[in-house]
Amino acid sequence: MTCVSMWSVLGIEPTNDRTSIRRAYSRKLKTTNPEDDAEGFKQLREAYELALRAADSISVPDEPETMPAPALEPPPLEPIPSALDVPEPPESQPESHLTDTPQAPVEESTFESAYRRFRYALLDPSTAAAELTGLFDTVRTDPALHNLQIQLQFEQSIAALLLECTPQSHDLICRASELFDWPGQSERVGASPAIVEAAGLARHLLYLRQLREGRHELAAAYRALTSPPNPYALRLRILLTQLDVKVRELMRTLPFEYAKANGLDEAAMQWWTQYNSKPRLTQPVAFAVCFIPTAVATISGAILHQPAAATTVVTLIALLAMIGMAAFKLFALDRLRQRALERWEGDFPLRAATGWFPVGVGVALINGLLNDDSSAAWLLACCSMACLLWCWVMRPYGRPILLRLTRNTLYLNIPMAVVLLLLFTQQATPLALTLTALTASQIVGERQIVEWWLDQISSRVRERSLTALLMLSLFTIAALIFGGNDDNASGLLASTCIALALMQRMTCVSLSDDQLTSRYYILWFSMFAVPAGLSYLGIKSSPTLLTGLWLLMGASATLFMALRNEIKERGLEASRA
Amino acid sequence: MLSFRGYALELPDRTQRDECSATMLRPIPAAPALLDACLARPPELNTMIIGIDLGTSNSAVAVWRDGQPVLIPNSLGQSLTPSAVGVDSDGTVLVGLPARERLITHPEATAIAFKRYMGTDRVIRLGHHSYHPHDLSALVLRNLKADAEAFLGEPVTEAVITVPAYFNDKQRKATRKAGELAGLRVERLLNEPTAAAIAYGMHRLEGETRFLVFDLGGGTFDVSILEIFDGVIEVRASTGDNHLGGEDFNEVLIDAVFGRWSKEWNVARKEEIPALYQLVRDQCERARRKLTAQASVTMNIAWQGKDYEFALDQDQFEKLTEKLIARLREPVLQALRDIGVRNDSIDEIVLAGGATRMPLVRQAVTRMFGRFPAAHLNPDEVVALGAAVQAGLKMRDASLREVVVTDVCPYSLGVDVAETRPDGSVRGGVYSPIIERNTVIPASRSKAFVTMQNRQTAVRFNIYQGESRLVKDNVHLGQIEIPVPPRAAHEVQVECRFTYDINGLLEVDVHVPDTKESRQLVIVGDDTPIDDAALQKRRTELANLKVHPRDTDANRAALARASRCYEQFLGDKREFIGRVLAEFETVLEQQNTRAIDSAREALHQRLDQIEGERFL
Repeated sequence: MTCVSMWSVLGIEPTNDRTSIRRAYSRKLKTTNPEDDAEGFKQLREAYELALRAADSISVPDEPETMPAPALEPPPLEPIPSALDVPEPPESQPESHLTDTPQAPVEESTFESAYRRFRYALLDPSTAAAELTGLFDTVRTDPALHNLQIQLQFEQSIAALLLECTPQSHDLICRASELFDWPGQSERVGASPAIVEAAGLARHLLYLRQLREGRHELAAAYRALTSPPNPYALRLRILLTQLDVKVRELMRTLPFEYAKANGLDEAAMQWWTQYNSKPRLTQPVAFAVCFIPTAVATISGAILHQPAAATTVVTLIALLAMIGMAAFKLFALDRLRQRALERWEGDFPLRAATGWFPVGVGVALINGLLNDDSSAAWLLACCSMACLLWCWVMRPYGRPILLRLTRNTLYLNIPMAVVLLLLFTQQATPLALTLTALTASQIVGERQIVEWWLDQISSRVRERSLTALLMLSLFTIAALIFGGNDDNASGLLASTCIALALMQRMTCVSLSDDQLTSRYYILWFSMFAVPAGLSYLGIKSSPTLLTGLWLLMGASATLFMALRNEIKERGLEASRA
Repeated sequence: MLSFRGYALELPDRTQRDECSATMLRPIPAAPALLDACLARPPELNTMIIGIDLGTSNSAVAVWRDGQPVLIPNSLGQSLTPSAVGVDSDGTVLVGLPARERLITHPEATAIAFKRYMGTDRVIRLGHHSYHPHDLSALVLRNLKADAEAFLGEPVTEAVITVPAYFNDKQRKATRKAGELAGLRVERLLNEPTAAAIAYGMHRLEGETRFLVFDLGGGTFDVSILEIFDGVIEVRASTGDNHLGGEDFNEVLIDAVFGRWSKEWNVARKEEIPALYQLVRDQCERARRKLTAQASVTMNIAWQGKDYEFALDQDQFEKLTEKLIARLREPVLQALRDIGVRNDSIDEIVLAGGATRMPLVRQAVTRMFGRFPAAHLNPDEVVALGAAVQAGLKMRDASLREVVVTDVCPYSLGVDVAETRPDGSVRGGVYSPIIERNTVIPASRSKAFVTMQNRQTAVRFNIYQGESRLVKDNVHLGQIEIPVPPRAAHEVQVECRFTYDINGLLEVDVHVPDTKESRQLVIVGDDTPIDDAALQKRRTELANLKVHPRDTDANRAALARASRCYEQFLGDKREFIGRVLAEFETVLEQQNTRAIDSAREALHQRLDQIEGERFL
C-alpha cells in the first residue's frame, strides 16, 4: 500500500492527528464490515495502521520510560492510581490495600523512595554487594508492585538500569531474571528488547557460574582449562583424564556464548589458544607417558639378547612394516575421512584385524622371548615402534581417536595376545605375567580410576570400581611376586614397568586439582606401591620380611576399603552441594 | 468463507430444498462474489439468530429482541442451564439440571465440564454409549435450541456460540462441530471476553474508553483489552489460560479435604471412589460459594453412615489458593505488555464468569489495578447477552447499524524454519511467526523464505500456533509441501501467505514466483474434514437418542435433587427427606399438573431449608 493510497482509503487528508485518523477509520468501518467484506476490511485496516504509524513517527514517540545514564533525577514513576472514582462497590467488598492518598502527586510513596535509593546505590561503584541486594529486595517486595502497570514499568526500567550498570549488577541481573521470569518472556515472540538482552546476559552469567562451581564433566573441563600450572601439564591432564572431548565441546560453545559478554573470560580464552597453538610439542610427551612402559619393556628385553642373524631378519621385517605403513598412509589414509575412521572405531572385526596385525607378530616375538630368542625381542621392539609410528601418522585425524587407537592397539591387544598365548602354551613365566599384569592394570586400573573420579564429580556411584580395584591389586601383586623372584632381566623389566606406572600415577595426582583424586591416589600408593617396592627389596632378603610385608599390604588394603566409603560419601556430598 | 470444499450449502428450511436449483446442493468452490449472492438471504427467510454461551459449568442462551439482548429461560424457568449430560437407568439421556443433580448419586453415568476436553480425542462412557466431548456439547446445545424455539415460537437454525478467546484451532473446530451436530448453523464463533465487553459496551458507544475484561469461568481464564470509540468495539489484546477456572479452586479445596480425611475413608487417591469424589466436590463448591457471603463455613460430608466435618474460613482459603491467585496475574501482565506500556491506562475493568464472585478474586483484581472492578451486570449472564448482541449484528438489525466489532487472534501463527547461528552451525525447529498475536482479524500476511540446501526438490512447511521461539513447544496444525526447481541453496524463493478469517479458520497459500506454482491448504483438525455424510449420520444418531421430554424436566430435576439429598444426609434429616420424597411421588402419579407444580415447589422449599439454597 503506497503512502498516497492509504490516505485515500481512509478518505482524509494526510494528518498526524490520531483522533481524526481514528474517526475516519470508524466512519469507513461502518460500511466495510469485516463480516461481509473481508478483503475491503483488510485494506482499510492496513491503511489505518500505516496512517497511525506515520502519525507516530512525526510526533514524539511514546516510548516506555528508560533511565538516562548518570542522571541524578529519579524517574517519574506513575503514582498509584487512586481509588477515588469508582462505581458503587458491591456489598461484600473486603478492605482494599490502597492507602487513601489523594490528589497530591508530589508526595513520594515508599516505593519511589526505595527505588531512588536503590538506583543511587547501583550507580555508585563502591557500594557493597550485600547492600545492593538488600535495597533491591526492599524495592521488590514493596506492595505498590501489586499494581500491574507499575510492575510493568518497573520491570522495563530495572532491566535497562541493570544492563547499564554492569559489571557490578551481574548478581542482580541473575536474580532479577529468575524472579521476573525474563527467560520465559524472551522465549515468546515479540518480547521487549531490553528484557531479551538482560535474559541473555543472565543466562551467560549463570552458565559461567555453573562452570566455575559445578561438578559435571564440562565444569571439570573448564577448570582443567583455566587453572593449570603450565601448558604441558594442561595437555597431559586433559589427555589423561579423558576430558579432551569435553574441552573441545566447551571451547566450541564458549566463544559463541560469550561473544556478547566479552571480557568475561579472557583467561579461559588465553589458555585455549595456548592449548591449540602447540600441538606437536606435547604430543610426544603424552605418548611417552602412556606408552613407554611397553616400549621400554620390549627394548630392554631385546637389548639383553643379541644374535646377529636374527637382527637382520627383524630389521627387514620392521622396514617392510614401515614401508607398508607409509604406503597405507599415502594411498589409503588420505582417502579415509573422519567417517571412515569412526567406522573403524565402531567396527570391531576391522579394528581387530588392523590392531592385531602388529600384535600377531608380537605374539611370535613373545614366544621367542620366552624361549630366549632375541629375534623375537627385536621384532617386538620394532613392532611397538611401528605401532607408535602408525599412531603418529593417524594424528591428523583427531587426537581423541588417536588416543583410542593407540590405547586399543598397545594396551588391549598385546595383553590379550599374551594371555591367549599363555593359555595355549601353558607357560606361565614371570615375564609374561608381569607384562600382562602391568598392561592389564594400566587399562583396567587407569580407566577405572579415571572413571571413578568422573563418577565422583558427577555423583554417580558405580560398584564396578570395587571390582577394578580388586583386579588391579591382584595383578600388581602377581607381577611383584613373580617379578621379584626371577633373574635380573625380568626383574629389571618388571621394576622398570612398575616404576613407569607409578610415574604415571604421580603425574595424575599432581595434575588433578581435586582433593578427592589426590586422596585416592595417595591411598592407592600406600596400599600397593610402597609395599610393592618394599616387597621387592624384602624378597631378596628374607621370607619373614615377606610375610610381614604381606600383612602390611593386607592392613592397608583394609584401611583403603574403609576409607573408600568415606571418600565416596564426601564426593557425593560435594557433588550434591 | 474460503473453505467450501467438503461443505454442502445447507438451506434453512427443508421445504425450500425442492424449489432451489440443483447447483445449490452441490459443493461449489465459488468465487467470493457468488458466495455473497448465495448467502444473501431473501428477507422472508430472516430467521432469528440466537447467541449461546457454552460454558464449562453452565450454559445460557439469549436473543436480540426489541433493541436489547434478552435471556431465554429454560424449561425450568432458569436462565442458566448446567452443562451436564447424564444417562438414566433405562438409557434415557438427561441434559441440564436433572443430569447435574445426579452427579453425586450416579457419578459414572453423568458427565460435566467436558468443555475442558473439547478438541481432544477423549471418549467418555455414559451407560452403553461412548461420547466425544463435542457430542456432549451438541446435546446441551440441542437442549438450548429447544428452549429458544419454545420461547420464540419459531424454528431456530443459526446461532452465534462463544468460545474462550484463547481456544486454539482444534477447540474451535470442535465447538463448531458440536453446533452442527445439534442442527445449528454456526457461522460465527465469538470470543467470550469480547462478548462480555460488547454487553458492557453497549451503553457507552459514544466517546472513547479502554477497558479490560477479566473472564474467569468454570474452566478457562481469558483476559482481553478492548477499546471503544465512535461505536467501534476494537479488541486490542487477548490472552488467557485454558486451564485455570473455578474448578481449580474447587480442586484445591478437595485436596485439602482429602488430605484431612483420606485415611479414615481408606482411599489412596481422591478419584478412587467416584461417588465419594463427587460428594466432596459438591460440598467444596457449596462451601466456596458460601464463603462469598460468610466469613467461615463448615462442610458436612456424610459417607458410609458417618458424618465428617471440615471447617474453612476466609484466611485458610486464601492461603490454599495463593498459587492460583498468583497465576491470574501473568495473563493480565502479558496483555498489558502486548498493548505497550503507555501512560494511557485502563479506564474500566469488567468482570465476567461466575468465579469472579469470589472475594479473593475481586481483591486480586483490585490490587492489580488500584481500582474496583465494574461488576454491575450478572457475571454469569454477561457473555450470553454479548452473544445475543453479536447475533443481532449479524441479523443486520436496524438498531445496531452503527456498531462494528473487530477482534484479534490471540495466538501467533507461523512456520518452522532453520536459522544459521553466528558460529556457522544450522539450527532447525525455529519458529517464524507469520501472523503475530493480537493482529486484527480477518488478516492476511505473507513472508518470503528461501531454500536451505542445494538441489532441494520440495519445501515443506509445518504450520504451528503458539508463542514459543522453538516449534517443539507450539501446537502443530498441519503441513503443506510445494515442489521447487532444484537449484543452489538460497536461490529459490518461496512465499507463504497466511489468511486468518474472522472465525479463526486458517488458510495457507504457498507460492513459488519462479515457477508460478501454488498450493493451498485449509487447516482442518486431525479427524476427518467435516464430511457432510458422516455429520448427518452422527446427527441422526444423536437425534435418535432417547432424551427425556422437556415437560418432565422440572419433575425429574426435583426428584434427582431429592434423591441426592437423601443420600447426603443422615439420621433425622434423611428420614424427613424420605417422607417428602414419597409424598411427591404420590402426587406425580396423580398426573394433575397444577397439583404436581405446587407439590414440586413445596418439595424444593423443604429441601432448601435443609441444604441451603440450591445453586447450579
